[in-house]
Amino acid sequence: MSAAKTKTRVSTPEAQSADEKGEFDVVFFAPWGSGEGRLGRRAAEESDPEGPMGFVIDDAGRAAVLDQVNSRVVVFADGKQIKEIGLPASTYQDLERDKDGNLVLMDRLAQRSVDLLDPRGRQIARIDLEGEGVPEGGGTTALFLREDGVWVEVEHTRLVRVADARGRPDPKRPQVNGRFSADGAWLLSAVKEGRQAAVVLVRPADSPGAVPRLLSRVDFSLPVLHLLALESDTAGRVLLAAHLARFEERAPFGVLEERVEAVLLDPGGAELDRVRLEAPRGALDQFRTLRLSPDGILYYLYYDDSGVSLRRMAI
Amino acid sequence: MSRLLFVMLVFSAATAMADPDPMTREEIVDLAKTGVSYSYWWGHDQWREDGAEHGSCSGSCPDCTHTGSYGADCSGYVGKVWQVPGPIALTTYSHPYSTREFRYSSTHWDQVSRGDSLKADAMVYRNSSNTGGHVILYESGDPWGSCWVYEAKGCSYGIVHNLRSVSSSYVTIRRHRLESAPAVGTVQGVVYKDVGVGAADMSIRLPGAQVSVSSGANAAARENDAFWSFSLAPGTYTVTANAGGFQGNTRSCPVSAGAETWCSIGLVEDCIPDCSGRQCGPDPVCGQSCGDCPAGHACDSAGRCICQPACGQRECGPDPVCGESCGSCPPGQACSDEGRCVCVPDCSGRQCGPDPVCGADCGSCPPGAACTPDGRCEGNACIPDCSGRECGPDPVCGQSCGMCSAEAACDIEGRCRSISPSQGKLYGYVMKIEKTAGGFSVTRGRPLKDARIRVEEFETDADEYGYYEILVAPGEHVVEASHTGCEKGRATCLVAPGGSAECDVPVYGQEPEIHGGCSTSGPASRGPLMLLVVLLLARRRRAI
Repeated sequence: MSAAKTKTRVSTPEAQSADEKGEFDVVFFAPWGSGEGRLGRRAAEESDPEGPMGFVIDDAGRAAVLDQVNSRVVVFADGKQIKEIGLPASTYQDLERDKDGNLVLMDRLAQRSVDLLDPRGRQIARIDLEGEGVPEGGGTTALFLREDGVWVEVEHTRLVRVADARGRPDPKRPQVNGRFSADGAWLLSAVKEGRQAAVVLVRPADSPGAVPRLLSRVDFSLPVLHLLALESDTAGRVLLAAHLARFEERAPFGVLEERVEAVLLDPGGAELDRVRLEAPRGALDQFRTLRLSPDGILYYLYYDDSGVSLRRMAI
Repeated sequence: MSRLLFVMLVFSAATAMADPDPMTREEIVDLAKTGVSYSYWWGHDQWREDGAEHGSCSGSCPDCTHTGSYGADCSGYVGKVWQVPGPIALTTYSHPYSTREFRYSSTHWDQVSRGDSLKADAMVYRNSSNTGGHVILYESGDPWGSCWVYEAKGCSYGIVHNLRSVSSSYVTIRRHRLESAPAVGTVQGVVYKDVGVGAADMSIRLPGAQVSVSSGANAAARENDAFWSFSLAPGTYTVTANAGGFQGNTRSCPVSAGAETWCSIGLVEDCIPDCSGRQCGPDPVCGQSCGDCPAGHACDSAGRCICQPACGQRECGPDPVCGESCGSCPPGQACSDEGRCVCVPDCSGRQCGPDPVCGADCGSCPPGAACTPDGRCEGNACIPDCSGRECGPDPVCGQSCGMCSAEAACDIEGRCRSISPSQGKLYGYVMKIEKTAGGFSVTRGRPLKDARIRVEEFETDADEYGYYEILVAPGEHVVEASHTGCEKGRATCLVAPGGSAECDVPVYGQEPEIHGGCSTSGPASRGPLMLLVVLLLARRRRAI
């Protein structure tokens, strides 16, 4: 992948370790807006402010960003928009893209469906999200496209297969606990534990009912606001990221420190690396802003008042 | 008119300032649920409890287009479910507060720490230019720290219930006059498999384990991480966890107001005893009994029942319980049935006299022969002739040719004949009574040569053992015995017609003899000897 030339250092004052190794490439930068090369935000009064909900990286390193505010998916390569795919709705919150460029999109609140679109944005299929294993669309937390079909995650704990490999609704809707690792061997799950730590648990994928084993307990440098990502690569490494924040202890409870911290674990659970990333400045609602590619590259969708950038970092 | 307006304003202000009516958190959430699926309607706050007439919204607010009579924006929605400033019907338009008031005022609510957010609290954001914001109603958290919320999300979504992340820009606010006092704390933890090191290794979680609290609350440990949590009034609670295949466990957990107390519980796996190859004792895995041993057996360390020999007073031979040896006897001794070592006589090469090992009798010599010290019979032995005889002494050596039964008598030809009613049989032994150094010795049934019996006019010889039989008329008779070298003795015996009576008769010797032969006893010894004879013969007379 050919990235933009810009390199930026992590600017959080405590992130000495990230300063040392935290240089990242900016895959693209998109100013706010609705035109070409731009990404939309919705900051309407008395409603939920939104930014791009998520993104996906294909094998060629191209980034497809869910620009739902503008009812489209924007594909970036070489730092610029190369493609725009119109969407039938502005309420999608997660996406996947197959090798042929077909899109799988999850609308968990309005249509409460998983929509399959061809590379030109034409709807191929619509699958009801709610049903066996998914009592409430609002409880879904991720969308996964695998060779065996389309899976949605419920409450960060279990997967439900809603469509088979050909995109047809799966009447059986099988479930597994956790989310599949990149190599398919494991089912991973993560749980916030206490105020400032989280645990990563694993099960063999071929024994989804097995008692989970603790892979690692990760202590973070600040209290955990929420976990941001649980990813893995084909080498079996696991990435756990969290949005961290420390508040004033008394009203008005202002933010004293804030960052994103990503911890890379080896297959045995030992910590390999830890990077501190700048937290976005604002309240935009986003859904899935950090991913680890199969070859172990961290991608982070960051925004500020000027726009959105996708940052890439080898860890 | 202006005065009326003034009164209305004052009344309105007073109403707005008064605390809202009390509500429980559950009542607030119940109201929030009624609004789900209604349309987003900027600047509004009304919907129906029956869920009808949702309305619709299009465009981008505030320049959006709404159709229908019901819907709400985020601040109208929260203000209505909170019922602030006071009770009002869901269907009645009010919309008293925007996110600006929720964020920066505290008329009917206060800010609380994000970490202390509880059900029915709200979380409000206001942008930096103070031109817009959003407010949501918090319900609960999830394993990632995301929040289940109710919110009038926007024109495209309407009012929704969903799990989402909430940025640090949001501040938690809590309505006044919540009936469920916030003075509660949280006790939480995980249920894990105790692998022997307690909480030092909680790596194996037990999702689905049943967790109960002494307050009566109970729940199943969460999927994946086996996390559990209870909101409780301050105090100390007993928390119990159970899971199939594991032993239950209990912990005492303190709960403080507004605090989170971690109280994870480890469960030890139920032990599966391994008694393979064991009959008894504890199994090596769980320590449970593999069985008891039968009486007389003890359990060894390998779990086998081992017989415990019971030799007691035995010194040899097998013990009666296990059959194991209680010991062996020295040479020359043999083990008796009672397990005692006894002397084994050695009569090899001996015909008579005591054996040289134990002193036991090796036999006696026939009449006319004497026993030498090395146990051989020497001298002219008489050869008895019992041909044609079945009883009585043989006519050559006087040795016994046999004895008749008590109902028969031996005739003079040595044949046993039945006793006729006109006769009776007297029989018995000639007993030689001798005075010895230690008292008296009585010889009965042992070799006694040449004794003779006389009953009135009838006489007969006793055999070599001193035995005799004689037919007499029924009635009482005096039986007299004589023996060479001995003083005669007498006994008076009574015999019934056709019957028989045992009647031992004494002879008196002075010195001990081994085989026959008597020395004349002196008169001085007669008194005690007579007394002994009387005692011995008393039985005979009574037996007649």
